[in-house]
Amino acid sequence: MTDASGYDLAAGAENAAPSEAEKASPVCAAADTSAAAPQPGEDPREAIIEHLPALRAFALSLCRNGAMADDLVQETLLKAWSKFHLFSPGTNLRAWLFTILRNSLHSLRRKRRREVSDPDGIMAAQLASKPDHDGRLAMRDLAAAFAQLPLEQREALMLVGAMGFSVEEAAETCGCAPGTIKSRAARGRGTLAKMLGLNRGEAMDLTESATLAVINAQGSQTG
Amino acid sequence: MVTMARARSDNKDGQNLPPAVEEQINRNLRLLYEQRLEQELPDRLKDLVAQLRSGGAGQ
Repeated sequence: MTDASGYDLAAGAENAAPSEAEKASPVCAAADTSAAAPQPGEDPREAIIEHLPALRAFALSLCRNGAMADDLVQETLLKAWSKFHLFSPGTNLRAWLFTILRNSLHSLRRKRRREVSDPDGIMAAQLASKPDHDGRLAMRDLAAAFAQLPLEQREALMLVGAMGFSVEEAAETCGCAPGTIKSRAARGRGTLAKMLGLNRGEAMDLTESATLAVINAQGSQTG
Repeated sequence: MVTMARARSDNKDGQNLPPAVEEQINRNLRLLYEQRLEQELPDRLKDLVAQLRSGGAGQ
């Protein structure tokens, strides 16, 4: 079966065999409070769907190419759906799904031996920016600097800094020690601070109302 | 903006940033993440969800 994008759905599910889902299953012990319990008679896999926007936002943060991010979310969804019996109810579904996604990305990178770039500037063009007139950091600058960090640092920063994962939960998701997550996040923040001139005392605050208005307006256009 | 190579070479072992700067970076990364979170799912993912719900894929 092939969907509109040409992706072979049956093959996608079958390829999940030695899957990231199987690798992801044993470690996610924290209770998942982010998804409502399924109603009686409802497919428990419906809970996966609730996490799709977060999975896609995470994928867009890890990939430098929007199409690749969507491929990754699609692959993750297929694997999780077909291997849901490997998920232990009551454990952390979000961490399980994110582990599948990041393991799939690392597998893909190993296959391709390089990261796909954004040659057409598609992602860059979608990023909202702060008004140019104030001369300070724009959201585009932050996104551009963030995209240059090593993948492991982007993972750690996005999970812990942006998405509110605990260090332990991020460590489970990335299959490493909590100290490694702390170290990667610290290195990533340090590099960002240097790239963006924060050590020189420049402000990096995008929370002003004017900035948010621009970001929201551009976000709705790119949706 | 300082180049990636320069910033990384200056930051090989990480560094202790002032808590205010660390929080500032986290806050803006959250904004970046939330901006992406609010994007509508592309049609192909919606279509895939529909197929999975109907038992047409990934069973």
